[in-house]
Amino acid sequence: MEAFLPGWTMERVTLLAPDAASAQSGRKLANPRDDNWKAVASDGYSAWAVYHGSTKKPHTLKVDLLKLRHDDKVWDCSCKTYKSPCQHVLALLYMLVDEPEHITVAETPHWVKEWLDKEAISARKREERKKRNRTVTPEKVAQRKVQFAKRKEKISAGLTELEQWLINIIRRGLADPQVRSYEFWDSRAARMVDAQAPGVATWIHSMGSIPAKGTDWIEPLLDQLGRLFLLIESFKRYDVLPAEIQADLRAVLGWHMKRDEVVFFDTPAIKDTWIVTGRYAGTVHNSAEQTNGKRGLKTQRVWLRGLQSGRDALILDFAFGDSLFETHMLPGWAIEAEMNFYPSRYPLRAFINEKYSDVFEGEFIEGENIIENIENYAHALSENPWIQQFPFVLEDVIPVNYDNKWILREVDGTYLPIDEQFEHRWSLLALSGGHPIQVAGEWNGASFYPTGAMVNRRFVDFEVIGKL
Amino acid sequence: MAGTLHLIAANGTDNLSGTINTRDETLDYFLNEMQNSDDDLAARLLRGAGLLTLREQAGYIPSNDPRPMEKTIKPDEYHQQEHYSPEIVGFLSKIYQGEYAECYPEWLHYVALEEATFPYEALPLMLTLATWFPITQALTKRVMGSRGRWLIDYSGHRGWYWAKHIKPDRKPRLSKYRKYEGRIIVRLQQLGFRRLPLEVSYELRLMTFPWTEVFSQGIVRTIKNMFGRRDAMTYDDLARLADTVKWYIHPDVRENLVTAFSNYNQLNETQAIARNLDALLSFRSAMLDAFMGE
Repeated sequence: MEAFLPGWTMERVTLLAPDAASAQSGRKLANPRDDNWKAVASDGYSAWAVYHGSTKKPHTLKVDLLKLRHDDKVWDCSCKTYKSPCQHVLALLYMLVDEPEHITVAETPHWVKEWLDKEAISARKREERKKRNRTVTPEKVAQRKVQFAKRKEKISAGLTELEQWLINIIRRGLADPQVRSYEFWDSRAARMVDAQAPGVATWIHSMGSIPAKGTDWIEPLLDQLGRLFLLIESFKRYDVLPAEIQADLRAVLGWHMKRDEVVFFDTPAIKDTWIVTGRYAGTVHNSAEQTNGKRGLKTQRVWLRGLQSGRDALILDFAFGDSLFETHMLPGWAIEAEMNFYPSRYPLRAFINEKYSDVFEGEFIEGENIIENIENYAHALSENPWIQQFPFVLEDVIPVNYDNKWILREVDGTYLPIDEQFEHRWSLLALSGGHPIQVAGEWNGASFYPTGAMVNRRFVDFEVIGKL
Repeated sequence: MAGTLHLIAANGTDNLSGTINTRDETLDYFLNEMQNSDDDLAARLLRGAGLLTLREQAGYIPSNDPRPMEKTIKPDEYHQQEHYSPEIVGFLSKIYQGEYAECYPEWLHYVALEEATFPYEALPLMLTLATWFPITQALTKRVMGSRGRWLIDYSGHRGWYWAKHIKPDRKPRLSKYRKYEGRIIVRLQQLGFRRLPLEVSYELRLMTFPWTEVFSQGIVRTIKNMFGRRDAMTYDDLARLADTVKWYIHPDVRENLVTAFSNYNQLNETQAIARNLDALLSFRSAMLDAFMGE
């Protein structure tokens, strides 16, 4: 029997779930022999089902499989939950992947056809709206200019205040007891959120944890303060800087460029087979929601490498609370696509402009040794000194723990320190067994944060491992 | 040079007295920059520190450790064994984060029974879980293999010392469940007449019998009989009962067990117990499926 979702695994379906509870409920319901399923069917292009559980009215659900194969999440369920996909849609997907032999192959019923037609119309409208948004009109340019000027003014004011704050810290000295208080940093971070510079807010928030790390904290803290000061000085000259440098400054400030703004720049668009080398998911500690006790903003960095071009690309995603990230790709997955890069002196951040294939299991790529990676980084830094994370794919490195200091070393002894924030050190060690493996990750100029590994031709995603 | 900059930064530029003398040319350059400019001294120090950081980052030279590599394990072991879904790491993580720990001994039991292996990245999780649940230590020793022993030996991890002297255990036996079944059902029947005493509950927990469907059906039948009696059971009784049986119950009896609890009365607390049992048994089922590769 031909698969309804070729190449899909249960794990991939789970990845669509908005939270663990939904995935679990979905799994629980995913039993086509259960009498509550009144129909579970597909014509190969779409799938539909009727589920009659404890509610009065049965739930009808449908999924556009063609779209889903291209990672477009098009589904619908008549249940009233705010979660998307709901447990019923997840159950249907689990059944399609796990028990295709129990799915009835049938002609599309009228209610599914109607929904597909509606969806097609909505998709067309969405596409038109997107196109409209991308089209640059004189009115839009004028409106953007006003918005731009307002935000720039706000950021300038915030940075001027920040400059004085930094100077005061150094005047009093880092040994001042208040420097060790989280509140000291967090309150300033909150001011930078108000100044619409969330990137700086996150940066300041992360500085708050440096004095708590141990005895040698003056140096790393001063490094960060110094770099932040340079950012403020650079921003003062914003108007006279080249457009790409302006874009780099905006990126570090958290003043992210919208996709339709990219058309104003001559940025590269590269068609290639892109393989995910690593994934990082974390929380952004600057959102107002979080300070109000609500669930905060999540961020995900998916690193890809072009098979032919050898280019690295970063897909940066944000999502609130339980909502899903737009990109669902794990280390080892690949896609043929055209990647559009955001403007930068050293373009890394990108978005998928056009997909030419479904997501599939990628080939294994060759990494580079430590020195080659460091050279690439030095080159990138000379173009863009604000790069915060730079992708490395380290070939043949061995995780080692010397006196509680974790490193990744090559057989000849060359090594990089592993970032202290990386929690899966023991798992990395267990994977290697003391032998060279390929490890992908992010280099921040001082330490390496692993985001994926390849062992015995198997990709490992550290994000699924519990915190150790 | 950096040391001097850090010292000034630590003490504060307001507390700086006299001039700083150094033989370091780079520091001289920065200090001149700092002292000759019209800017505030603190601003100059920050600028100097920022430039220095960038310089160090761009010119980063990886260190070298000449020590020879030791403590490796034969790499061929991994290749010879069949692996099942790495998804199991997600289930173990969930247990590690404090949910559905009741499912862990059973899963481990099957791993030992099947003489199966698992993704190596799960090993530290399993060793830590065995530290938390000593009941699983014997089975962990059985399944962790040479890679696990290597990891413990390498780590010197205090929490993992329980596994330091490892003797391969015998294959777990499943044949004695009837004996256990008889004992636990007698215990459960006592519940029908009086509240479950703590020591009985404890004794039930100590019975590490397998999770067979036959045995579990017996348990569910007994519980249903108990619920059919007139003696009203309090919420505490119900909670303790659920807590006792959930460690050993087979997922195939899920529907019967959950229905028995949810039909007992309509109180929210009872319904919550039923829901929790349902969620636990779903997790157990999904975890076993991931292991069996279904």
